[in-house]
Amino acid sequence: MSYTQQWSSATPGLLIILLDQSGSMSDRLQDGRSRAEVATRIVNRMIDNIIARNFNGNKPKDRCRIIVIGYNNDVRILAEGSLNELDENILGFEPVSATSAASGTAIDEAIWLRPEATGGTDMAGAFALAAAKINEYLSSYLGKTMPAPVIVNVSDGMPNSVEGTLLSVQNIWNISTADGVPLVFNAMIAESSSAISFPEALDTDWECPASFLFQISSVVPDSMRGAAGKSGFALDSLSRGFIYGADADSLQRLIDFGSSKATN
Amino acid sequence: MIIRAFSCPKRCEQAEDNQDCYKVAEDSRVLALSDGMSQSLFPREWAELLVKRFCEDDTWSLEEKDLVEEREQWLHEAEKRQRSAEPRVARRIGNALQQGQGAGATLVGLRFTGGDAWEAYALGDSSLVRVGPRYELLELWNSQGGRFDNTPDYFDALSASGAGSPSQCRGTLAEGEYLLLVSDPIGALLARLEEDKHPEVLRALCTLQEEGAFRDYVECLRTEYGMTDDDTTLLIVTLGESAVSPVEEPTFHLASRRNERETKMFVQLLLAVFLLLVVLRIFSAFSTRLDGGESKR
Repeated sequence: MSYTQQWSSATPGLLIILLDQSGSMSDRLQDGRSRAEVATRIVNRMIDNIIARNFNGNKPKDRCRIIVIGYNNDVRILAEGSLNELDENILGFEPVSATSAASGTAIDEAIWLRPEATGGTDMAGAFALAAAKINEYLSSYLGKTMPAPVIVNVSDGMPNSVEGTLLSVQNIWNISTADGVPLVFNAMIAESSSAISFPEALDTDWECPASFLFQISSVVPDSMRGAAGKSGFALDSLSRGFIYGADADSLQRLIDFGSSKATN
Repeated sequence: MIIRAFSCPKRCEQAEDNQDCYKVAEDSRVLALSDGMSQSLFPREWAELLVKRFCEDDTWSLEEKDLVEEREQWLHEAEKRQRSAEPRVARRIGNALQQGQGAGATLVGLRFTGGDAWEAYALGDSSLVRVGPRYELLELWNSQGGRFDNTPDYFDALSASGAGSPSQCRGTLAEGEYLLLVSDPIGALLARLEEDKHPEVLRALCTLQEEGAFRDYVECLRTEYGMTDDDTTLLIVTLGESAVSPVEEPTFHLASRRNERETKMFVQLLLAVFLLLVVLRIFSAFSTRLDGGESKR
C-alpha cells in the first residue's frame, strides 16, 4: 500500500471523475453561477490541466486514462479516453481570465462537458460503474504493477441512497492492487466563503452532505502529501481527500506524473 | 582521463522523449548533465541550453541572472514552434507561455581546473557521486542536501525565479577513484540503498562500458532494486585504466572522437610520407635526366 507507482506511459494510471448532474445542481451560488456550471468547469479544468501537465510541446504523453461518469437518475459515461484521445476530442473553448498569467491577457479553457442538472442522485450507481471500470482496467494490465486508481466525485450533496453509496464505495475499497486500494476523493460544491481543503476530522458544524462526503473520502497517502505541500496545503497523516467549496483542481495535483515545479 | 556517458528514457518512451541531456567538452575537461522536468514545456530544449552554457562558459557559476540569452533562445524556439504548430498544439503552447509555465531543469556540472583538481556546481537533484577504488560510496552530493522528490530545485526558462540556490564543491580526483554525474533515479537509489549490502551496484555502474549494457543494467535496477522508472543518465569520469576495472574500449563518443582523431593523424602521416616519396622520386628522376644530359655533352 505504498501509492508510489508513478503514472507513466509504461504504467498509465486511471482517473475516474464522477459528476453529479442532479436537479439540485441547478441551485445558484452567491456569485450567480449554478452549481452545475461550477462543477462542470471544475471537471473540464481537471482534464485540461492533466493534459497540460503531460504536454511535451507536441502532444500529451499518455500517462493517464480518464473516464468521466455523469449521474442523476441515470448513470452514464460522458467522456473516456487516453490523454491524446481526449485532447483530440475537445467540444470547444471558453475564454477565461488567467489570474496567474504573467501577461495579464486571457487564456482559454477546453470544454469536454456542458452543464446539466435534472433528476435524482444515483451516486451509488456511479460508484458501482466506477468499480466495474477499475476491474476492467486492472484486468487489462494483469501482471504489471499499476498505480492505484483514483476516483474524484464532484457533487453538492446527498445521494438517493446513503447505504447503497456506502456499499458501492466499500466495494471499491475492497479492490486490491499492488500499489494500494483505489483512492476516493470528494469535492463538494458549496460557497467558497466556507472553504475547507483536506480536513483531518469531521466538523460538527458541517451540513449533512459534507459529513457524508468526508466519510467516503480516502486518507491522502504519504506519497501524495508532499505534492499537496508543494501546492500550498499542509496535510497531516489523517488528512482526507475532501474539498469543500474550494478549488477542487488541487485534487488532481496529488497525482504523480513525474518531476514538476513546486507550484504547477 | 576517461569519460563515458550513457542515457536512456523511461520505459515505453523513445529516445527523443528523453528529457535528460548531457554535454562533454573534452578539450577543456568540462561536463554537465541537466534533467528537464517532465511536467513542463520543452524541457529538453532548456536542458540543452543549460549544459551548453556550462560547458562553453568556464566563468559561469550557475547564477540565474546570467541566463538572459538562454531564456531568449528558449522563448524564441517556443514561439517559433507555436507559430508552426496546428491550432490545438499552438493553443497549449500559448496558454503555457501566458501562464508563465516555461520549462524547468536541474543541472550538475563538473570542471577540471588544473591537473586532477575539480570543482562541481549543482542546482536540483542531479547529483555528483564520488566512488572510491573499491567501489565504496565516498559522497553523494547535490544542491538539495541529498533530498530527492518530484519537485526539485530548478532553473526556470521564463524567469529568474526558479527554485533553490545553486551549490558548489571542490576536490581532487585520485587514482582509482570515480566521479559520477547522475540524474535523480540513480541518485535517489544510491541514497536509499544500504551501501554495505549492495556494493555490486556501484561496481556495476562504474564499470559500464557500452550503451546496451547500460540500458540492461538500468532495467535491472528498476526491476530488482526498485529504481524509479524515469529518464536515467550516467556520466563516468576516472583517471585511466585502473587495475580493478580496466577500461579497454570506452564506447562513448569521446573515445570515438579520440579514435577518429588518431586515425585522422595516421592517415595524414601516411599521406605526408607518400608525398615525400613522390617528391623524392621526381627529384631523383630529374637529377638522373640532368646527369644523362651532361654525360651526352
